[in-house]
Amino acid sequence: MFNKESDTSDTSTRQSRIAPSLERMADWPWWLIVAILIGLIIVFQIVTNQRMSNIFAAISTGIGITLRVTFSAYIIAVVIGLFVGLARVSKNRVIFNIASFYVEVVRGVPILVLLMYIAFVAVPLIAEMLGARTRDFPNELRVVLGLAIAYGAFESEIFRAGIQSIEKGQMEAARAVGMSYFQAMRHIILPQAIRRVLPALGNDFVAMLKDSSLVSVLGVEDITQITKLYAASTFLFFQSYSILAFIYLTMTILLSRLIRTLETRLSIHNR
Amino acid sequence: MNNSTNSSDEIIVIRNLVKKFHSLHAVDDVSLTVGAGKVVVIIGPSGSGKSTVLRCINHLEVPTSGEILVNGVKLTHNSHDINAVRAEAGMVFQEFNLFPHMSVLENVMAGPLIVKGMQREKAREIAESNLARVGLLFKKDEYPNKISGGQKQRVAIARALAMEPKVMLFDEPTSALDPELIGEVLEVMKGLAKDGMTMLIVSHEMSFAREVANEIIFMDHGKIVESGPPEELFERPREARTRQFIGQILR
Ligand SMILES: Nc1ncnc2c1ncn2[C@@H]1O[C@H](COP(=O)(O)OP(=O)(O)OP(=O)(O)O)[C@@H](O)[C@H]1O
Ligand SMILES: [Mg+2]
Repeated sequence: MFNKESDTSDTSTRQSRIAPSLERMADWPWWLIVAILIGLIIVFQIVTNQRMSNIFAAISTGIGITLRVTFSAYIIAVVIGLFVGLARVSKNRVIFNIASFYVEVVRGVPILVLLMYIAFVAVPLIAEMLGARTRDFPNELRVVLGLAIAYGAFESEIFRAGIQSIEKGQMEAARAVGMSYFQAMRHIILPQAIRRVLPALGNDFVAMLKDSSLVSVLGVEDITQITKLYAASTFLFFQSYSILAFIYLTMTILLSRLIRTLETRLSIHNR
Repeated sequence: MNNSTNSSDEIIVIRNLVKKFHSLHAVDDVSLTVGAGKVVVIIGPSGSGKSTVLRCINHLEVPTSGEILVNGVKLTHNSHDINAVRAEAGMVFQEFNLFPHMSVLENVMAGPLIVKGMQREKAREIAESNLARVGLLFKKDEYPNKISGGQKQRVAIARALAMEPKVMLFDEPTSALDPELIGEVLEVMKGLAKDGMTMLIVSHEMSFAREVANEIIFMDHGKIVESGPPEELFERPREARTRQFIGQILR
């Protein structure tokens, strides 16, 4: 979206130079211009203002944790999603029902509640069963697990829809040359389905980056948590949270662009 | 039953096949045999159960009752047998169903590589010789969306042949094609017939059937109405229903 808007701004500025009119200016992506201006002001402040650069330095120590939580939870979520998605198209009623139970329950509970449930109920229970102590499971591991389980349900729906969007004749043709169901899935159906759902998977990657902020509730020191603590001790709420929002926005924009580049690279590569 | 005497020269034996979809009898007590090297063509109006008979042979549909033997192997629900039979019976669909994410060559290699676990080099050799057989070796690196409908169907034939099947099943292989592309597909099929391939074909291409078929089967409402050599069935149909249908398609 970001990309598209900036493209139109290019063409409309070019056109308005030839025939300047108020109507053209109304078509400008003003929101983007304003956003870029605010961004520039924040960057300028960070560079020139000692207090702002202190805040930025403090918050950015959490970027590593935010990225680590995002990436690891996302990778686990995609793996869960793939297997649960396969289970959801299975003809085996037991497998189908177990998978459906997971998906429907998880989709019906707020992620925050799910995170707390896993961290404070499920993990202690598992710890007890294993004869370990709850604090042997670091908080970061618990929140990664929670986010992965939540997003696993979303990704499974993406995979299910992708698999079901492949024409019935593909499975039949694969079976007709003698492939087993799993061979046909692996070599014929999934490669096509995954290509179709890549944009949706990419969107959820960005969404995961934003939802990783929820881990602050459990005291994991990601950028949100650090900002919370910093603002509370310095009373610089406006500055701290502005910088936090700025960091998230920058990361999501960069990540979206990266994903889009990968997608086009992939689609060119495959024909 | 005397399968032991049958199995050597009968590639397909169907006895009292019934396939119901809920209360609908799509196939209603059909028995037929296809001998080694024979070409049998099934004709009949839409919905008469022609596709369903073919799809039961390689278990894309599970028969409700009856018995099917392919090259002497009886079809049961056992998945091992099913995969074995599917490898013996190549199938060509009306809609081609090529794998769009694979090149033409990869489409033909898929069976030998994935099902038979063959070495890449060996699979490539087999794929290339089968593409040459359908006259499309020069298109081996194209993707399916870059070739014509007739070429797609010829690739689909090569893909089935690469598994070295005992019998080829064709379900209206030319019905989805523009008229000018039908000929090239029929030529390939005639070539197969000449090479002694056993074939069971659903098709309404009358002149083709007349030229290559040993037997024509006319189906209606899930039953075989009558069958016989093409000259007999086309020229002197015994049943009024057959006469009417042939009159329709010749018009
Ligand atoms: N999967 C299915 N579920 C329900 N009914 C089906 C199914 N497949 C086929 N049928 C029905 O079974 C009957 C026979 O279908 P079939 O496809 O075998 O006919 P056909 O002779 O091949 O017709 P056509 O010439 O249109 O291809 C039809 O009435 C059809 O609607
Ligand atoms: Mg049909």
